[in-house]
Amino acid sequence: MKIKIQVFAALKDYLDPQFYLELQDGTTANEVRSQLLTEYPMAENILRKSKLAVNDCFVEGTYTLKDNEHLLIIPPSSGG
Amino acid sequence: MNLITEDPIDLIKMFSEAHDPKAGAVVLFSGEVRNHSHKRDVDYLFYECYVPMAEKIIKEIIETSYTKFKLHKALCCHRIGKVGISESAVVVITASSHREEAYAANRYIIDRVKHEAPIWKQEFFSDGTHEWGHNCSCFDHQHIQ
Repeated sequence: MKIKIQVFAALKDYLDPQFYLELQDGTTANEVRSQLLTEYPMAENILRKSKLAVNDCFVEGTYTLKDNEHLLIIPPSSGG
Repeated sequence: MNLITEDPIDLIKMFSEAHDPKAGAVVLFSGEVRNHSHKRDVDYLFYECYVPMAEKIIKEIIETSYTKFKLHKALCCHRIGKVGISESAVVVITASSHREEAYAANRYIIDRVKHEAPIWKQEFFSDGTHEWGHNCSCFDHQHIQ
């Protein structure tokens, strides 16, 4: 299945803002995070602290992704 | 009114929308850009935002504030993009019959917006460098709900 990944803020110092991943059916959001941790070790601190969202709703890491879903990796907020 | 804007926030206009005949207290909080951060001179801030979720989250925070506090009006607007020194980055206005509720609700809203809305500040310093702000790490502590 194909998943669109979007990252923000400091994560863009390490990863492309948006990209697609081909994943096996049944892959969870946490497994995507683990894959990114392996590929981008310099981003480990912020990747581990980031929240995950699918289709604009926060999800737990155990969420099982579906084909064509849009996974957002959201670093800790620093608004205000 | 907009919850997120790229334009300067019009404090007077926003305040004028907060008046309510039942309100004896109207509290306005303006989060403004300092000219210094961690002993360094700041030129300006740039706010990145994921607007679809930020709007949804701020809307939920405001709706929840009405259920937790005796409010007549609650308004919030966060600016994004480049924000200069002394300009408002975020404004929260709460109107209640009495000041205790207006102050408490205002604090509740700004604390949650700062920590939950997907908005990120980047500080641009006078020495030409810049870095992402890190005023919150939501996984390290709990916020009052």
